[in-house]
Parts: sequence; C-alpha cells; structure tokens
Amino acid sequence: MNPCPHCGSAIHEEASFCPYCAEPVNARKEIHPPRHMPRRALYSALIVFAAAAALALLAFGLHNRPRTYESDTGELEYGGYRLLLTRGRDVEPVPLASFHAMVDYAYRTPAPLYAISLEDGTAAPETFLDGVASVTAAISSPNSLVSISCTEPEALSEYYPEAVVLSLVDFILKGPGDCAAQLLYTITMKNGDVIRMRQAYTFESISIYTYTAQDAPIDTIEELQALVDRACEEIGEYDQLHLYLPAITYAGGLEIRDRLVRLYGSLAPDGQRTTFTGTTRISSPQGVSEFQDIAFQGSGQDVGILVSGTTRFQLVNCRVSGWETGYQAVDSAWIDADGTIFADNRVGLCFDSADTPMVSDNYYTGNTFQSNDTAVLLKRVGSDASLGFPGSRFVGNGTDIDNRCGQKLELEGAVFK
Amino acid sequence: MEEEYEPVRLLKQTPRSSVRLVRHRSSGKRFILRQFTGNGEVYQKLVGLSCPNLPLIMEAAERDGDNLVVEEFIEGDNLGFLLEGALFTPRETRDIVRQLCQALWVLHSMTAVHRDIKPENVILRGKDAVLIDFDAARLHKPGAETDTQVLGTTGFAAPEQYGLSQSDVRTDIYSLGVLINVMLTGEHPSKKLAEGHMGRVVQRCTQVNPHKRYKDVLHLMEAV
Repeated sequence: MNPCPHCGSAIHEEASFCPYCAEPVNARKEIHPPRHMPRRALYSALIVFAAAAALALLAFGLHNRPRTYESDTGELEYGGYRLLLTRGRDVEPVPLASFHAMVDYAYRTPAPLYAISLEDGTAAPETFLDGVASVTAAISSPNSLVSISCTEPEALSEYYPEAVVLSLVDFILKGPGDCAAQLLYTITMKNGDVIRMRQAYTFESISIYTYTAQDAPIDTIEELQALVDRACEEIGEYDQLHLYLPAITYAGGLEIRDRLVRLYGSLAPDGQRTTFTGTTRISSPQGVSEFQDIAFQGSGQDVGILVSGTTRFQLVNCRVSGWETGYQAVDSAWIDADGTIFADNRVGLCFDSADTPMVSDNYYTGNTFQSNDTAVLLKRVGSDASLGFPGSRFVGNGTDIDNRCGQKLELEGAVFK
Repeated sequence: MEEEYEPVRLLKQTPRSSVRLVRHRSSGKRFILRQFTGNGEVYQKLVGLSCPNLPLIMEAAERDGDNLVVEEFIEGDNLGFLLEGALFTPRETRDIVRQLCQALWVLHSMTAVHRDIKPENVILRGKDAVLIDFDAARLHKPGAETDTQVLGTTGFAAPEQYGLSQSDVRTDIYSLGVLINVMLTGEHPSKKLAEGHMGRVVQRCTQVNPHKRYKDVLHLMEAV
C-alpha cells in the first residue's frame, strides 16, 4: 500500500484514484487528436518539404561524410546489412509492385523493410535499428488517377517480426486506366548517413463487364450458363463479370470457373425473386465472387452453393433453403454470408476446407439460421481466423453450431432462440 | 466505496451491468460508478488518458470478468434528449461530429472500437461533445493469421471482404453517419437522407461495404 499524495490514506500501489478523497493519483496523458489538414494544403506542404529536404540533402551530400546511399532496386548493402524493400513476408527485394484494382475501392498493401545480416544471413531488425535515428516513408504519384498515401513506418513485430519497420500503402483508383507511383523510404542513421530506397508501383484498373436481361438472353439456365462461359473466356484475367438477373426461377444451377463473377438477383412485384433450383458451383481463383438477393431453393438433397478451389465467396441478402447442405466451402475455399436466410436445410452453412490462402470476411453478419437440422457445421476451417456472428439469429435449429474442428468463435451479438 | 460514497440515482440497469450516479460524501463530488460483466480493457486503457471529448476514467478494476469503473460525471444533456425537442443545424452538427471524431480517434488509435454510438451516448457539456459508455467497446485484436493474410493481400480483390480490423473501426463510422442524419432530419438515412453535402457524407459513412466508407475518422473530419 502507498499513501495518497492528497490525503495520506493508504491506497493500493497501482491505484489511479484515491477513493477516500476522490482525487486522481496517477499521471494522465493529455491526448490532442491531430486536425486533418485539407488534402491540398497537405500536398503543398509535402511538396515544399520534399523540395527543401532535397536541396538540403544535396548541399549536405557534397561533403564526404555523412554519405547518402540510394537504391531503386529494392535492395542495398550498408554497414554489414543487406537492406530489402519487399511486399510481404517473403524476404526478397521488390523494386516494382503491380496491382490490379477496382475503381473507387480502398486498398492497403504492406511495404516492409528488412535488414539481413551479411555475416549470418539472418534478419536482424533490432541490431540494425540500434544505429537508426529515424525512418520516414513518402509516396507520390504524378498521375491524379490514383489517390495514394502511406503510413509512417513502424515496427509491427507481432505480424512482421523479422521486418525492421513497415509502412502500409493505401490507394484508391479514381477512374479507369493505368498509373504509377513511387514509395520512398528515407532511413537516417545515427552517424548521419542517409539511405534512400525507392519502390515503384503500377496500378491497372480492373474492367467490369455488366450484363442485364436487355443485353443478352438469360431467361433459362442454359442461356445464362452460355453467357457466363463465353464471358469468362473472353474477359481479362483480373476483370469481373457482373450479371443482373431477372426475377425468374432457373431450373438448375450455374457453374462458374476461372473468373470473378457477381450475380445480382431481383424481386418482382408479385414476390417472385431470382431463384436457382440446382447446385451452383463456384471455383474462381481471383478475387472475391459474390451473389446478392438470390434464392437457392433445393428439394432436400444436394448442395445449394458449392464453393471450391481457393475461391473466396460471399452471399449477401440471399435465401438458401431446402438443401442437404445449403452453402459449403471445400478444398481451400472461404465462404461468407451477410443478411442471408438459411432455412429448412439439413446443414445450413458448412466449412470443409483446409489451408485457405486468404480469408475474406470472417464475420457472418445479420444472417438468420432457422429450422435447419444443423445451422452451421464446421468440419474443417482453413484458417485460424475466428468466426463471428454479430447480429445473426439462430432460431429453431436442431443444432446451432456444430464446431467439430474447435474453431475459435465470437458469439457476442448473436441471438440464439 | 460504500463508506465514502452515497448513491444518488440508478441511471441504467441490465442483467449484466449497472450505472449509478454516486456522490463522494465529504467532498460532494459526483462520479459515475459502472459495474458490468465482460471485457473492461478499454476502460483500463483510458485510465491514463485525458481528452476533452471523453469522460475521465478515474479507476477501472476487474476481477474474474466483473468490472468496476469510477468515471467522471459529465454534466449536460444527452443528444437523445435534445433531439426530442428539435433538430440540429448543419453547423451545429458539424461542430459536434468533429468532436466525436476526435473522441473516436483516441479510441481507434488504441485499437478500440466503441460499437454503440447513438444519441444517448453523446453528452453536450457546454460546447464540448463528450462520448460516453464504453461497455460495448472492445479492443480489436485480430488473430495473427487473419492479419497476416490481410497484410499479405495482393491488391486485386475487393477489400471489404478481407475481414480486416479496419472494418470494425468503420462500424463506428457507420453509426456516426446515422447519428449525423438523425441530428439533421430526425430520421434514419434509409427513411430520409439529409440534404446537400452532409447528406453525401452520411451516404459515404453508411455504405454497406465498409471499404466504401471513410477510411478513418480523420478523413470523416475532413469531409465534415
């Protein structure tokens, strides 16, 4: 126990507050959130700062010491270390990072800096940092097509234990086309040396091909399948196919391979909505495919939507009912659902996949699982990511969640009745 | 506590929590005393901080999931009460929202999300808007595997489906968008959207796809 500095009462060593005199006894840090500068002013300031810094460094560099080191190959040797600017966990130099991106979508990508000891070839972030006075990062593009920024480099040892520091690059393509940017890491050493490492970025917009019932015959499952097959053959590897479907029942299921496809269903005034009665199979390696506002109505057998390969797939505001298994991930696929009703299935949603290379959303938000024998069956889940069910309702199921693989769950916000 | 403080009134009670206004007997100072079951990490982190748009957390103690928090009593009216009488002008709304963004910036920068932004949890103390009630707040600590994959994203997939931590931060931005709309129109944006620039801000805040929302509260502050 310690005495309170205000009243002298004996209080706990770790107390922040004296309950006897009601006075705080801890040091409190005042937080003043930054005021976000208007972008134009920020850019102007950055340009002026960069110009001033360049001039200063130029003048400084005319002398022998301290020295300035430059690299635009993603690697550089300095003081017994091999410095590498990379794009992920692979400790390989990445002088150029290329992205295919959708217009108006916010993307984030890491740009870690590694320091490999030339002596033993191991990552030596801490010993290198001992000699570092500061590290900054800046990114700019001569093209206004991309809005781009990067975070201050910081050590994220929890996720990148071998990296010295990591800057996260955020970008949004504002329109279709190609553009480029350059990331500059400036490492100032305690001995005055300055290391500048550059990483080039290129961005290419993803094209979206949209079809409606006015553009192509899609009144039967055969016509729809023919359109999907042809489009997937003709569009680029990273392009997307978006289909707006009429409010009719397709007698059968759809098979989608190799391309990212988004299906948007519709609802007729008489209550008829876009419906598939056969198994829909999805295996598209790129990106995240998605179906919205579609009903999948089975007859007690088969799988309603079978997602395979390394596909990441999402259902939004759909209805999956009357299947042996309503919605299933196999191979290394990842599935997600938001606002979707799973009703009267033997199994509503089933994970039976392993080694998923990349998860999409791991929160199953606002769904209703009703009157299924088993609402959610987790045989194998290919990631350690916890599964959350915020705002989802489980009503009248035989088993709500059969968690056979012991996946970590977040059930806060889920309702079980 | 019982010896030194006297209860003034019970402000809220649920099966898992209670909120009481108490008075320090000798000094007459009033405090909020929260008792709840659950995760009190956010309160514990706030003990060492002070921000004009958040209540001072005087003490936060936890034992076996039961939490006891002594908190500054914010004198003023909550927005829910004020909205019963009138709407706010765009200028008033901007002033309040900017301050709420500052409060959220503090929470978000310590990897916490509030998760319960609503008029009843905003108190106007003079010109200061103070965000209260962190019972629903939590620190967002994605599993290393999840975050690795997020950070390893190669860029061609729609980010809203990555399940990354920013999505949770943006749930606060969504709620703030609804709050802006309610302050200006009295209605949820799905029923009646605010007009003009603020309406566009609301639309951006309340995008179903979290990644179409403002990236963070600083960007929202700039837009507002």
